[in-house]
Amino acid sequence: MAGPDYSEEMVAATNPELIEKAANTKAKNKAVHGYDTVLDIMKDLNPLKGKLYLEALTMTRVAREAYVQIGGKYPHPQSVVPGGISVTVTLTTLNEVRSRLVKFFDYSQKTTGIWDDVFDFFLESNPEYEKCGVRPATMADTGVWDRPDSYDASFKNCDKWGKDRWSTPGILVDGEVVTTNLSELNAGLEEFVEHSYYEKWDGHRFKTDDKGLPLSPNHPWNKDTVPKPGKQSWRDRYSWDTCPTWDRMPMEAGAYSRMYLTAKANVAPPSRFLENTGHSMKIKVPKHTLPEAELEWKIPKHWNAFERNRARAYCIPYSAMVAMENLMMAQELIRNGETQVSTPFEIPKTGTHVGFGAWGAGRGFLTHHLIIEKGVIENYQIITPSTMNAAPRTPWGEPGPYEEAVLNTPILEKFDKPEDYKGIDILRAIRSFDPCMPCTTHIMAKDTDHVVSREVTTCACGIE
Amino acid sequence: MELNKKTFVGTVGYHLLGNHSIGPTLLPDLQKMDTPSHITIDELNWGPLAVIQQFQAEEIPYQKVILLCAIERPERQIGEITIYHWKGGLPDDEQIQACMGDAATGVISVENLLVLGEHFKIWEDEVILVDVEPGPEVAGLQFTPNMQKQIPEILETVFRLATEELSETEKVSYLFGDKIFANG
Repeated sequence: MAGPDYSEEMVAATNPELIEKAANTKAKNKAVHGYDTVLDIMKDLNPLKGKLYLEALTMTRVAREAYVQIGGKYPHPQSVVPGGISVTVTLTTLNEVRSRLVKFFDYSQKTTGIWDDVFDFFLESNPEYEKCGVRPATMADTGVWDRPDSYDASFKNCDKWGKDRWSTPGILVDGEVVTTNLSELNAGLEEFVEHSYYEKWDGHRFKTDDKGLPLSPNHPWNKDTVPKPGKQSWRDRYSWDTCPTWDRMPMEAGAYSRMYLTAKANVAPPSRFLENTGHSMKIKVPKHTLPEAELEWKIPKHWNAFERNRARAYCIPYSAMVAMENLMMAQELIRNGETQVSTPFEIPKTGTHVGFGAWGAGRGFLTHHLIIEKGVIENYQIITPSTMNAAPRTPWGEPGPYEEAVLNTPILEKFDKPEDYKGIDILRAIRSFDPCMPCTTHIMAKDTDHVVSREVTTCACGIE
Repeated sequence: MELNKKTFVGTVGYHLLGNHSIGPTLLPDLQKMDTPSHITIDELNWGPLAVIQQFQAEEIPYQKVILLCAIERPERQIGEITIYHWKGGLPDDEQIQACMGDAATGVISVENLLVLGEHFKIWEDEVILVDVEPGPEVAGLQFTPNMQKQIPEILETVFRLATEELSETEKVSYLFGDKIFANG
């Protein structure tokens, strides 16, 4: 979805000075993607008709076809149940998955090559683009992709099985790993509502977790959601989003965060395809129609819009090779007669039970925090990646991730009149976190009435 | 009664939004209807792109599509049923791309589905909306009494449109893709 922001049509409308330069810049990765110049790539990023745009849509189908072999359908998989899955997985099932997965071997090489060419071009053409959406690499991620020989779903062992995930959970502050323990990640979470349309809640029911780590009154286990709609005030309350923090710091979340943390922490289990170096992740992509290749995503010097998107592109081979690793593991298990796909689970019917679910959404960090009383859910709090990224200011005035990224973004777009302004630099900054968020972005040109807006609409005025 | 016209009856709308959820809530009732085997009945909430790819994968395309939805419109009473005939056409490319963004985000919108379906040419002969006035959006599982009262007629309307040719006496309004997102 970020592709059109760097397409020939968009660049011609916002920074026409780059078009001729792109036409004269040879693509470095022609061998994998076939495009001669950067402009050739940009033309195929044009929305609705560009070949790369349409190919991306087609590849979503391939991924979905692979997923539904096990999930039944996507979205809304119907075979995931507490304790496992409800389908019978055979070698035939795995072969069906594999036949789709291998298509991502070539696509991974092509996609990373394309985005390396496009982003290197922008950053080399104008170093000011380094500032687009820039903020410190301060991020949270829960990790994903458990290993069956480690995962036991217990809070007691969560630090161990968390570190055994193919992507490492943890916290990064300004590019440095602060923790990779899931229990510390959980304990450091707080949610603030000083700038949100909610009432502050009372009480501090859970003062520590089961490991004895202290919990704030603002921890999700202690939170009560009390909506308080009201007038928008930028000084006071201006968002339906809350402000989640870790150790009182706003955190960024994204699929790229899991790769950044995994590469930097360098504690993930050994893999046939992945090698973490502390400053990069090397990804061995097997041969399909393209020859085998080793891709390397390097931790960037500046964490900006271009690097978020570049990292997201590298997440394709990263995810594909984790899938391949798991597929091979599943084949070995089935060959050894181990076909169990679930563990019996019963909801506890008595007492108080506190739970913490840590999993990655497509957009990164996702935690669920539950209290069960006598078999009934008493409190259910969720922190999504968008909750983190779109957060309003902290009670101490520190901006949320989108806010900070936008504040740091220079306007490099060329326009003569305010009404010609498209806001592409701002859109690139926000869309680098979440390619779909500008559906609700409004940009106002200072001292004018011109508002660039995009919002979800259900207007039905086309009726006659 | 028309014969063997491959037909898809789809429900579109969020769950748990009271009257606005009439489509997905009535899906089980629709599926219990005694319809011929050439009529498929399912929800269509799982994303226009996935819907498009499913329709494209059909060896024989659906010749008729009936969509049950509830969109709040001015000057209608709650429960009032309006039949719209989709006449095609498209908004500008920028708006189509916005629909793509919404689709990828997971927004459930019958307008998005119509526009993207038109763009990717999945609509064959007939696309008909059975649009029931929901009134203001309210969270919850319950319908208001006026909506509840209309359920038999809603089911009968969908059944009739799915199994019969659109009658010349049927009161039909028209939807145009190039005007569907226009302000006003």
